[in-house]
Amino acid sequence: MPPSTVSYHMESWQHVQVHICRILGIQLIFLVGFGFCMSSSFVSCEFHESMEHLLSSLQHKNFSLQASCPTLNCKPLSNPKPISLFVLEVGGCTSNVGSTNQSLNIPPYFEKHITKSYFDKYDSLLDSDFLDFISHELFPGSCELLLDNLNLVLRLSVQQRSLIGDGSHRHLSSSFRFNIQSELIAELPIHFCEAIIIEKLPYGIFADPFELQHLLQRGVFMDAAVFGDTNLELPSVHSNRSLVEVHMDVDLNTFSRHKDGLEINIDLPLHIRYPPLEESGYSNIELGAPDLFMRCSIEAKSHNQSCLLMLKDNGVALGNGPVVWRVPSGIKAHARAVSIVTFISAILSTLSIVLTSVYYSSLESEDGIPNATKIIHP
Amino acid sequence: MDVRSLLLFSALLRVLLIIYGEWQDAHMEVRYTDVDYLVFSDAASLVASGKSPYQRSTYRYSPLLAFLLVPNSIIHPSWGKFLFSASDLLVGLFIHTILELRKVPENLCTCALMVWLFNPFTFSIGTRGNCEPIVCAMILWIIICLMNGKVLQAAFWYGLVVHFRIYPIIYSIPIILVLDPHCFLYGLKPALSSWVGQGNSTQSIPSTAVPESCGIWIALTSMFTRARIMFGLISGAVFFAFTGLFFYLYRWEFLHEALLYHLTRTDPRHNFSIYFYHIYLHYEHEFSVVERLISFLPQFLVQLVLIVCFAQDLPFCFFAQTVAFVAFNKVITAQYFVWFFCLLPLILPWSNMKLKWTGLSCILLWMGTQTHWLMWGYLLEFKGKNVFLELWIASILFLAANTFVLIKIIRYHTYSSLFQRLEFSSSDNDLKEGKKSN
Repeated sequence: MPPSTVSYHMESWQHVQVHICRILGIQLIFLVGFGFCMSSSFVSCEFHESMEHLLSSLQHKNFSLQASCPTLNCKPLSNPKPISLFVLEVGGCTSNVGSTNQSLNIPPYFEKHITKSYFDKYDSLLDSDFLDFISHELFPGSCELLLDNLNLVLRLSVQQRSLIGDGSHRHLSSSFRFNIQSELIAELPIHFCEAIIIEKLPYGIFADPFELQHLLQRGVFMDAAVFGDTNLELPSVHSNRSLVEVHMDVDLNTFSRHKDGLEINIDLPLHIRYPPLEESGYSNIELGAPDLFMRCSIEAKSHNQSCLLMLKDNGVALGNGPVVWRVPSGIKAHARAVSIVTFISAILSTLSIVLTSVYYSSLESEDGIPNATKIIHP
Repeated sequence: MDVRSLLLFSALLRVLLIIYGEWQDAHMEVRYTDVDYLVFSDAASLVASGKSPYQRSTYRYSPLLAFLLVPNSIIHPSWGKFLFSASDLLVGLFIHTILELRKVPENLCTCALMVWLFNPFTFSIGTRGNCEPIVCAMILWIIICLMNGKVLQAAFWYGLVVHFRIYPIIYSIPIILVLDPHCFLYGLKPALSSWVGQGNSTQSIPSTAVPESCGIWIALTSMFTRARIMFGLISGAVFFAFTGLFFYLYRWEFLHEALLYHLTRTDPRHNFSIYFYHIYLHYEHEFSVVERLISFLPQFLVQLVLIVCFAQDLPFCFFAQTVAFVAFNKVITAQYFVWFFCLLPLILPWSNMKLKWTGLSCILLWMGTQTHWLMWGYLLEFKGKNVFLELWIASILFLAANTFVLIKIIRYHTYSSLFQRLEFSSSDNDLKEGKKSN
């Protein structure tokens, strides 16, 4: 198609289909992780109590969990004990009325977009920096509980990930499934939960923030944002990586009714930058696995609290291997020939037009002398 | 079909297309509306809420455009499309006015008008939300002002159009040249040369009826006339006034995005230009000054020669310059074609080209090479095939087609100065063949 100023299509493909069946496990994970999070210095232990109550009926599943709870003095157990079924003994979260907030800044997990503050601190997206960010900023050490060996009720599987389409504009289709035990969705005062999917895009792939806004308006996502290098026009060589954060609503009510679990499907439109030159004429760009988080907010006596969980896959489910995007790229060997022929063509065109103009403008003037050369007798 | 009904019918067509466009946007995956229109609208809504339009990335136009589209957020999102389509119709009206002023017969006027109004490029560009019709309308209005002897008005609009879109700067020298003191006196309406009939060469017409063409040498020797100085000063002042005003409002962002970007743009992404693959292959290292100069030289040379040969036949000079400018530019997109399509009807009555077979071959060659390019572009962008070399060759063929068409148009054009040479009687300073301007 004739390129316009922004030379790629912004076509929206199909609606993202979100089938939310159950979210029991999300709440359980939340409970099992530790206490609750708050935005003030108050600590409420009611959540901890209900968590204790529920822990006894949890079922073991293979899973690992990392969770975060700000401004609490929660002591993690040195050896978190796997207990049968859903029981996960966590550290004690003590009531700490009067403790002050450690910092005046809003913690990243409370911002609307959790990865926004990454780019405030770091210039560019590096996997190692991002891991640091996750462990140190999103999950402050004082309340970090890593529960590697616990079998939990929530089984997460990234069922499939694939690139749909041909050419420079494709859709990344990802499907995540959570399985939860239905009887565990007791009366937890959970307000709502949202799944947060972070796609760390490699060099050469970008998402169009305006296209995402359009999808947002159509209700496809709950929220979506792009951070990092959002320039839509530069080639790979002169651009940096970017990151897409997508929020999907997780419906608490329907979760309990489906025994298959909760499934979230995401269809993210992505575009390619012009890749660096390759001898073969094609460049293979690999898309890594996403980072998955769950953020739930809980009603407490006096105020709502929200907590952020990171869901890790124990390597079980990534069914069809890493996603690879094959992109045509320029061939360096062409450079010299292309430059020579380009300039020769330009010169030939120029000469043709110049000669024609001079010849015909001389014919056109009355006395046969070209207008341009009338010097003495105008 | 008379002009009024032609314009009415065209207006109806455009309204229907805008309505259809709205339907297609809402119901189909592929949008009818151009991506640029969404950029303008977003920038306009930013302006409406008191912010800078440059917060919208890829907005690379004057803030005036965002101001014009503020009603998009207040009245209806299609306001801009109606505005651009109205400018489109205004261009049609101006074409008719110019041809009438030059006493072209009614039937030729109507045919020439239809070439603009019913050109698919034209009606789709305004209804899709592209702002080029406004620029075309301003250019034609400048020609009308010059033809009516209104130098100050022409200068104002010229300064404004260069601020809006930089490319009309190429018209500066021909306009200065056409304000020749032997043809154009400040304060008086110049005598326009009339259309003298297709196929007749100037030699066959008695000298009293045919004006002497105003030579370049006269121009060079009497360069600084009041008309020229006024034109230069006023247009320069208007340009700098608008630039200064928006720099005061939006600072360096405005300067970078609206002006400097267009002057230094090297886009490696595929487009009709022959330079795109060369730029992509060399993008990793910066271009040297010599390289930039070499790629600028063909453009500069062609513009210079066209100006020197055809300046006095102003509409034709504008047309030829625009075709050459677009063909040799580092980036060519489809919307640039409108720049010379609006000038084509102005030169058609003076062309000896027959539709069969020269005219048809020009049209088919131009469209054919374009379609050929689009085919490779589609394979590259939507099928992911490495066809860079084939695409580049297609762009060279497109340049060849542009060159061929331009050469044919020059070959078949009957050169006709816009203004007649004024004759003075020395005794009482009366002017023959001159009229007072209003």
